[in-house]
Amino acid sequence: MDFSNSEESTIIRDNIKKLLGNYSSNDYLLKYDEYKLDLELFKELKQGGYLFDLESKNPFNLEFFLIVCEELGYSNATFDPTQCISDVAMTLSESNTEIAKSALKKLFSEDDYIFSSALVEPLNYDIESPSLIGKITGERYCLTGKKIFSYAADQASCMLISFICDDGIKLALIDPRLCNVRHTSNTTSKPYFEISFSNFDISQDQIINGDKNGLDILKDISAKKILIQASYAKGITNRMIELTSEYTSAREQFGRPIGSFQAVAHRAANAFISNQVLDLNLKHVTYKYLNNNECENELLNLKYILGNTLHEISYTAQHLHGGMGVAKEYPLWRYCLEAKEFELMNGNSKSALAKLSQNLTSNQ
Amino acid sequence: MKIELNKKQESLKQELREYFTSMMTSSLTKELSDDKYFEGGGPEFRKTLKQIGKDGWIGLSWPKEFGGKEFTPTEQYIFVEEVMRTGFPFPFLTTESVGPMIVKFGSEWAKENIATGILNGDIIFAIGYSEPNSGTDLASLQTRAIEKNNGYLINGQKIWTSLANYADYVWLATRTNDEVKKHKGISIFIVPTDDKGFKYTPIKTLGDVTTNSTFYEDVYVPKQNLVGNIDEGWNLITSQLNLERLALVNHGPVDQMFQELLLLINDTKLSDGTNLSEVDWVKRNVANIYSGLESLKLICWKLVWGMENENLSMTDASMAKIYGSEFFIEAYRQMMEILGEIAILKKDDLSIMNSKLERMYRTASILTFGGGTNEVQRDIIAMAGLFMPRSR
Repeated sequence: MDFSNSEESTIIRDNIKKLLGNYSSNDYLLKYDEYKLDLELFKELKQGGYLFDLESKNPFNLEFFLIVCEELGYSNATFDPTQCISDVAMTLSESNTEIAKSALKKLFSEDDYIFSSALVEPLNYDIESPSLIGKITGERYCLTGKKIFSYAADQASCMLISFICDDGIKLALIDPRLCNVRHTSNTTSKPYFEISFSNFDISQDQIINGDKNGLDILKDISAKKILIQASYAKGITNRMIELTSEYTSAREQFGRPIGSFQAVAHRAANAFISNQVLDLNLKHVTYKYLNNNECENELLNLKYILGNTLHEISYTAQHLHGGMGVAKEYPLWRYCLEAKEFELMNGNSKSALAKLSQNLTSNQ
Repeated sequence: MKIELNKKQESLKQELREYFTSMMTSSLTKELSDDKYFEGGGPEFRKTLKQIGKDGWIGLSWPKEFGGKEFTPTEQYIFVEEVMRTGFPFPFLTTESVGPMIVKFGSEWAKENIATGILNGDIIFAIGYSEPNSGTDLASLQTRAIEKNNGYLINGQKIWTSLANYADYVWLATRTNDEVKKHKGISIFIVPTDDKGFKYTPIKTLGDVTTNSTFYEDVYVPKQNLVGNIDEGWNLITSQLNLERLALVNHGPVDQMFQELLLLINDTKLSDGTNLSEVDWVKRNVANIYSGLESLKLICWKLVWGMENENLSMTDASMAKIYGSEFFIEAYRQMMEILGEIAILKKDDLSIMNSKLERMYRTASILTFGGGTNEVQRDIIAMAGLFMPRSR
């Protein structure tokens, strides 16, 4: 058994921390409060080798990407590479289709080139069951339906979508500039877009399934999404706990630090325990996933835990901060909004629990 | 990072599972289902413990030169897990807390006689720490040992001295010096329970676990019964607490019951014909228990990994104690909800899982305050994990 981090991962963490330090001061973040999209940071992450490493045999390293995501969550960074790298680029790297190879080439060679994904649908908690319909007409598909929470769709040159047709689930690359794209205002001010399809026509050579089953591809995207969300969650909760500890140690009432009251200390200790539980489960599932071990139930459990933990720690931190917890002059509020987003994105704790319970009781 | 048992550990687990399953003979199982003997002390229990000693399964953490196995903390954890799955009341405190300390700090007499007796499965200890007025604030204890005739005369009272009703010795914490800070003036003695000055009265508890008040009236012990140096007993007390905390919250017994529950709900139909495993809220409870068990297992594994690498974190030990003890209560509650009112039946034709669940539920609350109350564990986390000011 070994719970330690490798030297390489420690170096990556230190370096990304240093880089993000330049992008996360309160003054810097203020500039993005209305619209949180920082393409400069994206370029810097790309050039710094934090998103992929072209010198390596496999340019994508999920283990290191998870560290980057944790630090992005911790710093409340102004760019989220999840859709571009994990949903799309990592998926394309597994596809043997021409369109996938050519799109990846552009991502690697053009600084501004960015991918977006459109996998989430309104009131559909499960990205593995898309309801966007693709009607087969000869060699083509005609799409009708809606996707939401597509990140930076207005900047992307290429977008991965999922749909269902008579042949099963398909994934395709499209040019979002040809779609009906609408910005959706949201609590974290991230650049999320709604994509509407009405008889939208795509050709067979835009499909990236290759010899793979569409459901299997979505299952893998979904698994990585959970690991990434949990990594973000870990960064967010780490920072919220840190802020809480600092604040309750410094803030005095009745002549002593409020952290010396057991009622305060114990609530903080509970948050600490929940955070450790999240961390341990994340490490365990990451280990299993990276070693190709079956881990569907462990992933669902992680999803369940991450939602609960984000909710618990967010409210604990706000409560123990008192008014400062909600004041915009203090950084906590941003983390609380991020926490809620990650809690609800791509299914929630309860939907994960329901799926987990189904697996446990039907696997007898 | 490698978060799984290695092949050697997996095979140890298998070996232990087979060994202890074969140990649970029908006569032992019958004896342990008797309220009088379910915590051990009966003739079948004594016989089995001797056999376990003979087979070399006592003294796991002890040095090889003293007949031990020098098991790593992970291997010890696996051992505890497998024994607890069977329900055999293995005297861990004697074998894994008291024994190694006697080997390390005891007199020559203690090493030759007491340590060997423990290894052979002949000797069992009770732990005499708490007093009526010294519980969480253990260092304020008042049972006294005064030097006399090249030995010590002990007077005082202890409470919650579990197993004292059948133990051979008490591992007794006494005050030996009032002139120094309270943590500094404490010494540990090996006190025989057949001394005429030793008495006990049983205390029956909610979970039918019997514990005891123990009384020491002019109990005389020779100097060889002192463990370690005089006035330096506090370290002996605290060094075994982390191990004790880990043993208390081992995930094995609840996992065992959870596996039994899964089989049961799949085979059980409600009066309307619905299979229990198809009911939504039942499934939810099952998933909740699974989730807690996974986390508890990982917390414990990390703790043993820390011990193995001489990096035992006080925060991790406290966290394991809190998480485990509070999870047990919730897990039993959710299991009992699934089974409904029959979950509280005691040894009736209708009772299920051999009434284990109702008994475990009744004993679970002991763990939230026993072994260091959870409030103090939270204080430790706030101070050592979060660097918050000391609670007052």
